Amino acid sequence: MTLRLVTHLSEGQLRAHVDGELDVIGRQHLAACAGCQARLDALAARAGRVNDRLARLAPAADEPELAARPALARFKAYSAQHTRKENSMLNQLFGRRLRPAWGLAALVAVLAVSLSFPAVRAWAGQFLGLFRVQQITVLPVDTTRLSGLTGGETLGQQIGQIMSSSMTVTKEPGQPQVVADAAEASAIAGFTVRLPGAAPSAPQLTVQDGAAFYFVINREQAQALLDEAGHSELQLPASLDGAKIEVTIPAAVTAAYGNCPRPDAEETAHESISWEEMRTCLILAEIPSPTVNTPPDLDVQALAEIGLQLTGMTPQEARDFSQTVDWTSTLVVPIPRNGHEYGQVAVDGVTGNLIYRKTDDGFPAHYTLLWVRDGIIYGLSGFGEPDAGLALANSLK
Amino acid sequence: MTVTTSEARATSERRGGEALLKNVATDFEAIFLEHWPRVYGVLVRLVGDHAEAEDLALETFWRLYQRDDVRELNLGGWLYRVASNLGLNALRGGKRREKYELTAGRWEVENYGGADPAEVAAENEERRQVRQILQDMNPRQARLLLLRHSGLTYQELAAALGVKTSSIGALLARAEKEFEERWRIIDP
Repeated sequence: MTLRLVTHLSEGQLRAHVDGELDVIGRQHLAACAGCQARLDALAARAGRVNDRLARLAPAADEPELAARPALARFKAYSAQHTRKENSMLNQLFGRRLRPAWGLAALVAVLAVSLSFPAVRAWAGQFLGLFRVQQITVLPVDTTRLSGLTGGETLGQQIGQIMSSSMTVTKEPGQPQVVADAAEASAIAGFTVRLPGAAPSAPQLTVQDGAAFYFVINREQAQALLDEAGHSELQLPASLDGAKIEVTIPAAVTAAYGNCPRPDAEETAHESISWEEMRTCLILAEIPSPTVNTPPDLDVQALAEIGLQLTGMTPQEARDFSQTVDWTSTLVVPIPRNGHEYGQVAVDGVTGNLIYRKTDDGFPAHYTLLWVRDGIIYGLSGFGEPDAGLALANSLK
Repeated sequence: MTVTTSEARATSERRGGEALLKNVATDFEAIFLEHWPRVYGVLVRLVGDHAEAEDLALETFWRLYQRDDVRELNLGGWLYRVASNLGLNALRGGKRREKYELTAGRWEVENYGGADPAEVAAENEERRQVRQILQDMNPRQARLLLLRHSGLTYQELAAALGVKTSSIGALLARAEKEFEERWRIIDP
């Protein structure tokens, strides 16, 4: 007696046959196998039912469709409009090469999209950045009053041009480097990297190289810009002219848990991962404080007040706020006032800041924790309620 | 005007990018004209609103336009992955669509004199339920069902999902099973 081994077709092969995608050998088997034929019929019926349901989504024949040629014309207009927008201050200021160096800001931006509007961040980088960070304060900004910064692209663009034409990069940041463990990350980044003991899985660790640059301010040009933006009441201090501002950004380390976009991916690559798929993503970023050196006679508080007024504060509000802040050691993080909750929390043995945003318009609830400990800035961003993030942050070692 | 080294470099990088874009401009137009109908079609099905689908399709092509590795991309796969992702995310946003469906529903009831208003309402409800299921499903499965239904071949689907062509049958069977189970919960 001869035993013949019969391999029936898999569900996948049968389903492929429904769409005419089964190979010859599979088709030969099917022709001779009643069992497979019966399974095929069931699968084909189900595929047909699902297809009928999906067919409900087809646009009605009399609904106007946009043909390819007119669409291309619209694309050209769309593209011209976007090119202007993208040519914003942030791009002008830091360019593609320097952007990754703002590790913390870039990472927070990926997860907390709503926190990141470039003009405000770039301003924060300039006028709030004259410091070594020892503490963090969250500043809610009324976005409806930001017309001069976010609506009028020209102001941002011109500031960017002035900055970039006077900026010299003294250390180019290299490409992000994926490393195996905390020890390797610490060795490359030059500070002790701490990881949560209570983490659900091993993280993907990345070290982003540091960067350094300086720029020299031309007061006349800067004042002309303020005047043009309708803020001639704001007078820049004379000490600003010729001031050389040196910025050093140390290497940063990120630990990504769950399903996260690759940290070294360009922003345009993030579209291949949906919010739904990112729900498990949690990113911890660590960076020693960037340092900004300014001439000793620069009136930082006066500059800060001007900056605050540009974000929509009255002179009195700006003065009041400015006096509560030590501008040499406080990183002020602007967040849009609407839709965000924020407050101070005990985290990792110090007082930190929690920024939380509830589910809105399909974007899931997400949070960012920011704190400073022993000269290192920590940022942790994730989806859902912040409890899990807090527990993780509290288990750092 | 004196420019610093870094600015000169940045300018030259920008110019390099622009030159490349100009070189691929003709290619880009051909790509646009070839893929627009289907990209737009996928999005209309998904979000149900022509204006929103148009915005999302333009956004999809804009992202392609910005890339400087267009020649190396698997175009079909990339375009449909991005378009369906933008569409699914928009579907979760949903406000504009609900408004559109309400308006469209009213318009249909008011203008289709001969049609039974109850029938029109039932069709609208069914459309809403199909979208709700796609929205609730695993995004990968939703994407697969939608793109297959929009006429992508197994090869194109494999490129869009980043899997082997030989896995598509099994993935489709699983997605359809999932879709039907969810449908039964809504409409036993």
